[in-house]
Amino acid sequence: MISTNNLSKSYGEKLALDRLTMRVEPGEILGFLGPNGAGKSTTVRILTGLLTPDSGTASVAGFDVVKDPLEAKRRVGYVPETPVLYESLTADEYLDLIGCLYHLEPATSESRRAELLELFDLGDARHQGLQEFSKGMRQKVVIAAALIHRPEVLILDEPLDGLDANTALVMKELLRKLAAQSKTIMFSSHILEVVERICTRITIINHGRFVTQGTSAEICAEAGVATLDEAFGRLTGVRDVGQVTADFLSALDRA
Amino acid sequence: MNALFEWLGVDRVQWRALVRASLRVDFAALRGAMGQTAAKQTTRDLSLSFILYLVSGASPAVIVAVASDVLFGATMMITIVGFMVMSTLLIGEGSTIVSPSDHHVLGFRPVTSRTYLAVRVTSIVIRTIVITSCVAFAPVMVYLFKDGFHPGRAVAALAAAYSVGLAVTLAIVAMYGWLLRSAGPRRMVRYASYVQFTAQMVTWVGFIVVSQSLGKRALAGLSLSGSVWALLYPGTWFGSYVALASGQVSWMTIVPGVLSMLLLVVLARAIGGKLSLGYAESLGRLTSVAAPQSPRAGAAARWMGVLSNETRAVAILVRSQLQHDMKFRMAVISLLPITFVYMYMGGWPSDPFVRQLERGGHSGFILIALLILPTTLRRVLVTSDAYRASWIFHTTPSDGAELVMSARNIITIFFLVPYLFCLAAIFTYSFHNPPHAILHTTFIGMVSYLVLQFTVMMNPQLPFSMPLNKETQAGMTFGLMIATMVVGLALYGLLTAVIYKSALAMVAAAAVFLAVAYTMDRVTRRRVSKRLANSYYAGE
Repeated sequence: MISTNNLSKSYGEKLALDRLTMRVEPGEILGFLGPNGAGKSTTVRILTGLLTPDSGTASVAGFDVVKDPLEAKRRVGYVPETPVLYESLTADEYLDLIGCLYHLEPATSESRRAELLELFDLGDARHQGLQEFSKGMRQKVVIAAALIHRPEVLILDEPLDGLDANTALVMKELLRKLAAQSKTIMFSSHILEVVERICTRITIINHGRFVTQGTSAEICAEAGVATLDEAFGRLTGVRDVGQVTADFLSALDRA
Repeated sequence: MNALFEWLGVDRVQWRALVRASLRVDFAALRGAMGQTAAKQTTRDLSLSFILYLVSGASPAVIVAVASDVLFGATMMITIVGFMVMSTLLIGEGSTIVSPSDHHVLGFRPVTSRTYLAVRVTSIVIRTIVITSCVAFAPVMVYLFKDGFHPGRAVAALAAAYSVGLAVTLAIVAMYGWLLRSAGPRRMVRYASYVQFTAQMVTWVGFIVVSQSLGKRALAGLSLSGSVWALLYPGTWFGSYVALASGQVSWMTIVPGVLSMLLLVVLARAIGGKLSLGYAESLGRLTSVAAPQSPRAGAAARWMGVLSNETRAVAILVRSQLQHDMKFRMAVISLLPITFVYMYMGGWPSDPFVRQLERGGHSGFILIALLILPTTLRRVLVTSDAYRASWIFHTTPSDGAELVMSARNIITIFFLVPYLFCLAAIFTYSFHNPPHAILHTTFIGMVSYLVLQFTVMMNPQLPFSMPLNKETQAGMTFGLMIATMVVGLALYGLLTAVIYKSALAMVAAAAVFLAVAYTMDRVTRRRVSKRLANSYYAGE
């Protein structure tokens, strides 16, 4: 389970999160949506231990991320938005390193990384340096690193970015299966179609504040529109798409 | 001004924007772009670097004040300024010059190669001007006030310093450009590290040998004015500006002055065709299509299984960095010749249990090398170009204190201890007394370990988690060398004057060392845990 209660965080003058309260239950895939600068990354960073909140609480798998960070981290698998890796390592070495950091037994770590790399079609590239990997291959390594310790909670920030269509399909199915095993999954993305298709529930935030939550249909009904795209636009204050486009074209003409 | 840019074929608007952006990027940490802690640390390091550069102007100032021959004094000043600029550029700027990132940002923009060249050279020259101004400040002041008020001579000295700074900068850039052309981009990155290492060593060793060979009394009597051979040394060419401004107008000062101008023109022309966007493009291809590495079987060697998880994690990283990161490898390799440099400075090591004067050598200088080795390695192990990848240490339940201590242990076990074995062998050969050699090695090893422990305690950082700061890297290196020299010689004095006097003193000292090491270990663990709990992720 993931929960936040009145979570706030500022960067200097700028309030990135404003008393955000939300909850993700086990067995759920929560789509975490918001426009750029809404506070999604800040929330994810707090939940994964990269940032500390100014006020409020956040807990993962029942452990407070500030008071009991190690217990919380032990139960989380995290896929960051930008997969930055130690590129001098091979894929196998990188996963070995991650296994060490999660205190996996060497034998367990070895069998799991072999299994995960095979599953992600990286078996042949296992001993190649990460600097030779394409963006999609790196993404697969990061996803494998998030799964290697069999976490209770998965926090995924644009996890399908860079993946080929086949791997993306496998990944979506994998998430559904993991949710069926009562894992808690938080899925942050800008691609609304994917969120709508995979997630059992959606939370939208804007300007660091909670806006709404529910299934795609519930959110559309609340906004009084037919599609999630339109609902997202309306709830996050985006002006009429046609008008915005016209304004853009007019600005380009002026230039 | 516009006409000049037009003549040079440089787009002035683009040039101004790109120079501004390049400086902003270089000083990003200072502006808080990497967090407030990094901003504070960079401000502190940068201030220290400025002070060190200013202080490094003391030795040329003394030479200028003492030397009776103007050309000799000016040549020595030019040599030291050139040395400082070269060292700084080789330590800090090599990566910038061979950086492929420009191509990724500018390759698809309408920027000409000439504009790119102008931007690159400008940003490097700005750094050179800052360094030169600091180092030359003291000797220029001496020129201004020595034997009366001589503003013309001071201006000439300043011009000579800036000219040599510019010449050194252009020479280094040309060297990289030549390497790229002759070796190709892939080999160049590898060769550049070796060339950088060799040039750095030659510069350092040359400087130390010259400064060791010339006593103050000798300086006062030395003269270059009548020596034709002096014309072969480029330092004399720039030094002649001061001689000319002092009224020494002869072919011995005019010819070198002309040669210096010619050198600048030749170097400027040499880099003209080399440092272009085409150059950056060649490097850019390196990152687009990485060099295939031969597959490496097995993630970690079997022996690593005996290590704790955190130590094993750090060992995996250190091993791979050593195998594949040229910068890291060269930083480690460059530490070895330091021993020989200090051995040269102190003379062949003599038995410290026997009176120094009887044997002549001073093995205290080796202790300085032994202090530099672990502290520098620790600095190298903490910083990395890939520091953003350290997010894994923050999101996993790894023990931060254990990771920090593991880095210390790896330095101790895999670098310090083998180094001590080598020293023990040298001492055994030199002292003709194996027990003395072993005892001395043990004590200086303990001192070295305590200094390493102290640096870890004062500034605990996760391995490969901090950005490299080329602005302060060279200054920090000079600072470290000065600090270790002071501390090393003081500790060596303590060892030889007090501890080595009796067996009881040695036993007591060993006990104190162990107690201090244990206490520092406990304090460090507490400090690390506390600090990491409040730390930020530098790659944020």
